[in-house]
Amino acid sequence: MREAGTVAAVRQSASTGTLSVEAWRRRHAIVVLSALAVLAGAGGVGMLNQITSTQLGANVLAAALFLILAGSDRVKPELKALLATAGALVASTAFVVSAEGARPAHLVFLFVSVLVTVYRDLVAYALVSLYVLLLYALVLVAGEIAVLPQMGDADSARRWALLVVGTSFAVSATTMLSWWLDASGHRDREALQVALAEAALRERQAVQIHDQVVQGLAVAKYALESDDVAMAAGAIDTTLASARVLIGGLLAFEGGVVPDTLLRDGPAVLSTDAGSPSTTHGADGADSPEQPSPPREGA
Amino acid sequence: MSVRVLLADDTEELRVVLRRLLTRDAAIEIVAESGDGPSTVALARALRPDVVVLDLSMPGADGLTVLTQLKDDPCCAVVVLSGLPREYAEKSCLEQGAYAYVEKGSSIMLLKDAIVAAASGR
Repeated sequence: MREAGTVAAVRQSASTGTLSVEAWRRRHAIVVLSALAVLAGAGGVGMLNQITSTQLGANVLAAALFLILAGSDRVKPELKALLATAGALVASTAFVVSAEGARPAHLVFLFVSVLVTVYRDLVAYALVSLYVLLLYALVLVAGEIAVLPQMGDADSARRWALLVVGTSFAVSATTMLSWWLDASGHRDREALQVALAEAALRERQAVQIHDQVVQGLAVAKYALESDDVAMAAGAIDTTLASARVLIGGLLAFEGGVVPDTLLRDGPAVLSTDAGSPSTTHGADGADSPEQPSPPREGA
Repeated sequence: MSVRVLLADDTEELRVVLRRLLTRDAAIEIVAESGDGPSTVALARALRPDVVVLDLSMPGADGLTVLTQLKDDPCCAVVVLSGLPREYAEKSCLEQGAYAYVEKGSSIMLLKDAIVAAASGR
């Protein structure tokens, strides 16, 4: 059954509901490139501010390392998102440090927290949320901290920290939720596609089996009409073998026989007296109810 | 004058018995046989038989595709001879220009009558 693989692939896709490989790669590239841009910005702003602290240097190196690993093909895909997220966070920290804690620089955390939602990965999103929460918890607890000298007095720093954290969570959570709702709709559409593909497959199988059996029986009948008993017997044998192969393939695809699979609605009927429309054709056609379809108009 | 028929069916055994049965009297002459869609169209256009007896399930191109390609060609009338139930396929075939639809396994007289009617009615 050629369609079986297609249906299985669609079913697998629908069950996971994850991004396609291509879509994931595109989004991963966006995150990595954005983090590199933030890192470059950190270096530029640091040079302007003549920042030479080892903390900034360590942050830049760590961010670069994370981002290089995130772009490596040797790293497992499930780790790449976390590495890119870590790189973006450390680059953001470097940016804030190089800007000497200037308030607008803190908005890069808002940017990163929203950016990583493109992975639709709860772990990456949780990592960002935890990082932002811990970073600004320090500000909330300690007030003005050493790396953020431009945040002003303690009360002002706390208000700003609350604003950044609150906005980051609100915007990123909304974005993450919208991704999930979109993914849910995507899964629904794929489930519908699976149902349609399976229905189309079953129709094709039914038509194929029907055609194969009727074809063989028709050959047998016409062979008998022409007194060719050998050909009739051969056609019946071939039809039986074909039917077994077709049904065997179908049962294998569906997972084999289980209880109730072989339950009949009624006894098998082969007699023409049973009233089945498919068995009422007379052998010679003299008493057959069958008729060719009427000629088309204008034919 | 006999009706010139092109017999199109991918099952060779069926073509053999149909040829034998249809040509028992001189009213029908089988001018050619084909086992797939493209050769059916080519033979119909080349030989211009009176009637094409056409199976629906064939390799290359199915019977409905053949019907579509012959629809506007006045070369021949088409009688569909198919194993598919009438209620499943007849309407589509008639809409695509078939003259009549006969189920496989029907009496050979029924098929002969449909062929003769198609030849005289086209």
